[in-house]
Amino acid sequence: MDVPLIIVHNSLRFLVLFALSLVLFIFARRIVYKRREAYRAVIKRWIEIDVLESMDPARPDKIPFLRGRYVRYPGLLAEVLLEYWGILEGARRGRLKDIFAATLKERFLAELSSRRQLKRLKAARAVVVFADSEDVPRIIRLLEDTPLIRLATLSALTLSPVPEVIDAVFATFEKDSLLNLQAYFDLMSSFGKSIESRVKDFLGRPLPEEKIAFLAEITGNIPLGSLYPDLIRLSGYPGVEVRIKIARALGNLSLPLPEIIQALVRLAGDGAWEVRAQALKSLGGMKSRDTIDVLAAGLFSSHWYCRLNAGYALTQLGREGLERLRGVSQQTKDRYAADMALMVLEGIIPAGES
Amino acid sequence: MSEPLLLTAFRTANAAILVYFLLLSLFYVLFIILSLAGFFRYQNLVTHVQFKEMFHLPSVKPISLIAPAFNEAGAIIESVQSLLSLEYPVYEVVVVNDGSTDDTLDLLIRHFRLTRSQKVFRKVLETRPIRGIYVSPSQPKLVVVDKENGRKADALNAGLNVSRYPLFCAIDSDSLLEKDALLKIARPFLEDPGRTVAAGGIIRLINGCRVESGQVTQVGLPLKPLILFQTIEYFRAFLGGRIGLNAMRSLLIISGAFGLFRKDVVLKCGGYRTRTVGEDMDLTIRMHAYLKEKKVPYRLAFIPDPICWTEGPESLKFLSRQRKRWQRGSIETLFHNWRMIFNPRYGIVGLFAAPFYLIFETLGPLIEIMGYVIFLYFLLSGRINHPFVLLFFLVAVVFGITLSLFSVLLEEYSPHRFRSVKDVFLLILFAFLENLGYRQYMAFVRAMGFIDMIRGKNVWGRMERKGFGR
Repeated sequence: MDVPLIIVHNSLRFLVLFALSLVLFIFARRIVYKRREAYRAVIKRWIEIDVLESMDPARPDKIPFLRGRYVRYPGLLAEVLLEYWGILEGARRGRLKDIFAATLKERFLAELSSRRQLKRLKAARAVVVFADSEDVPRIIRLLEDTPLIRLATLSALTLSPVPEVIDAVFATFEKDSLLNLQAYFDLMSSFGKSIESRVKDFLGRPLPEEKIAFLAEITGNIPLGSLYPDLIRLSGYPGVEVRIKIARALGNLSLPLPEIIQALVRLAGDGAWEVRAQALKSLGGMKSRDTIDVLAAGLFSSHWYCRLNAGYALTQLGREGLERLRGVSQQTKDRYAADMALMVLEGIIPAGES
Repeated sequence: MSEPLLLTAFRTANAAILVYFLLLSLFYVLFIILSLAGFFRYQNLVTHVQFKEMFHLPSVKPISLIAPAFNEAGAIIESVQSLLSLEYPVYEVVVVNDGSTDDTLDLLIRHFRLTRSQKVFRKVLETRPIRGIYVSPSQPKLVVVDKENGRKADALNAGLNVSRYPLFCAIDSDSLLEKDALLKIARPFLEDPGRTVAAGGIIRLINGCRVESGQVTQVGLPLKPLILFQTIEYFRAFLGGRIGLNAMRSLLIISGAFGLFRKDVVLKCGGYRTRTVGEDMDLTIRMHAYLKEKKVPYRLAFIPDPICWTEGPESLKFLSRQRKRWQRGSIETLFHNWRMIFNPRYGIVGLFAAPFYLIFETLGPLIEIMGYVIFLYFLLSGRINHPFVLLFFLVAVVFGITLSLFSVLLEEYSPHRFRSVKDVFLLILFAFLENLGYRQYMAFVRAMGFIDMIRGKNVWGRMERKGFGR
């Protein structure tokens, strides 16, 4: 046999064997997987029942029993505990923490030190959710781990915010890439007003535009009303994204103070249409009759979104706003403004009344 | 041509085809490896990071779902109902009736009690005239646009004009989305809002599945060879191909059946090009071109989990028509954007992705057919090393089978795998059979698509739709 023939011949033999092994693997995996799934379902049902029974403080014997019985199923036990954590509230969550501490904690803490990312990832969620104050340094270390672990930690902290890690979260936020930014949102929001001083501090720092915009959004979302002077100070920020978020946050604060309204009126005349559109929307939320002319002027904007938001903002000003909308819908000088006013009116008045 | 010259030409072509086959095999193996790695990474991510917790953010961008419909009376109601029941904080459904000649619009009006609206919209893109816009008092998320027929790309452009939100999801109106598909496909926009401009998800065939209330309740396979072959093809294309291409930042298609885009970027690219039947690939390539030329950092993402279910053609006639159209679309798109091919200005897209699509995907069927012709010539003329050619042919077939088996394996790892072992057996059986006739026939059909394009054929072609309620 010549060389090419030998190569092709051996390639064929290899490929046939490989393909057959693949077929066997697919079938074997499926059979094993099906049996394992059924087995796990049964074990999980038992764990659910036993965990529920061990929630009763009158059954202290149950926790050691859990530890002994399910030592081979740490993943399933953690899964059940986390599921119950999502369902239960208050003191019963404390009991879940006790169960975790007595059954799995030691093992999961050891896995957190593993060099394998997957092991750390699997352990991180449960450790963070069932954390005590003594675990704060561990959580801080997790926040400094790889991006994937960091994301899992942030996601778990959202379920169970630990106030002691606020400073660490902000420090990580400052250093973290913009990719994980959104993961901080729910977490910071869940800390509520307790983060006010940190947000104030960070709003004054030279952070990237995206992070300033993010903090402005957080301020409006919680809302942190006392920070409105900081937001107004930033309303002249060079980046458009920041000004949009400032306009939105000022609206979300729901504080119809003259300074805020003035700032929003200024933003309604901004050079960027996105800022104007957002400011008009926020002005609607202020429900101030003083802004009716600004909003009506917004209906004549050359930009569709500004017209749209101005139209809906006017509907929030009650009868006077509706009257102004009707007026604009009947004028013939600007067809675009008239069409928009008509569309908004049509949308808010039930059929038959228009 | 003298015989020695012909012989030399055939031998040269033979050697070129051999190199071509080796290169193609190498790329496919690479894609499979990257797909496996990407798939496992994604599975770990979604198991341990709960993304649903992040979707309460006010900064999660609302989505306009745009569903063009042309003569879709069979499935339109079920499909729209499914779209209206998706899990996502804020979205709207814009159904564009593209001048249907059946009762698609009447069905929509009757079922959703639509009324004509005074809705005004921004006409950013030129389209065929809009005859009316309808809204539903009972379904505030639903907007139906009735327009003159202008084909899918024109309907999508009309939908873009009428849509209100900063992200839009193009979806075929004969498709069904999994309830959480939008949450999953929007994740890259949440993780990296500055750079993500588009994301695609997996398309799977609905034939053989049980559908209840607009949702797939049981995944299954019909005992229809054509559907089984297509199922394997879809697995290979999406699980094997696109995950791998995405890992190499070389994704050139975000499927028109299910893709999420940033509207501002699409509008800056001029929306969908109406003079092509491959509008999805064309848009993706033009987005690459635009963003590279403007030196804007960007990324396209492919998420292996959000599922869109679509109906596959059950007859050879309609399947051939569909594949010829895809082939024409692919050729038109690459020729329209020829300046990108081998152009370092467009980075990996210009130097790898576009040439790969041109040489291996678009010209592939022609080269494959040419290989068969040369094989036949040598066989008939007796100038052939019979054992070598036979073994080489078998290597090609078994390699194809191995790739198909890998895609079945990837499907086994996905959360939407088929429940019964019988289905797995069927998939494996058809992974073998696919390479013994079907693949060759498809190469022939796609080569015919090439000829259709040269002849200037530019029609979309009617497709059969049986609906999901069967």
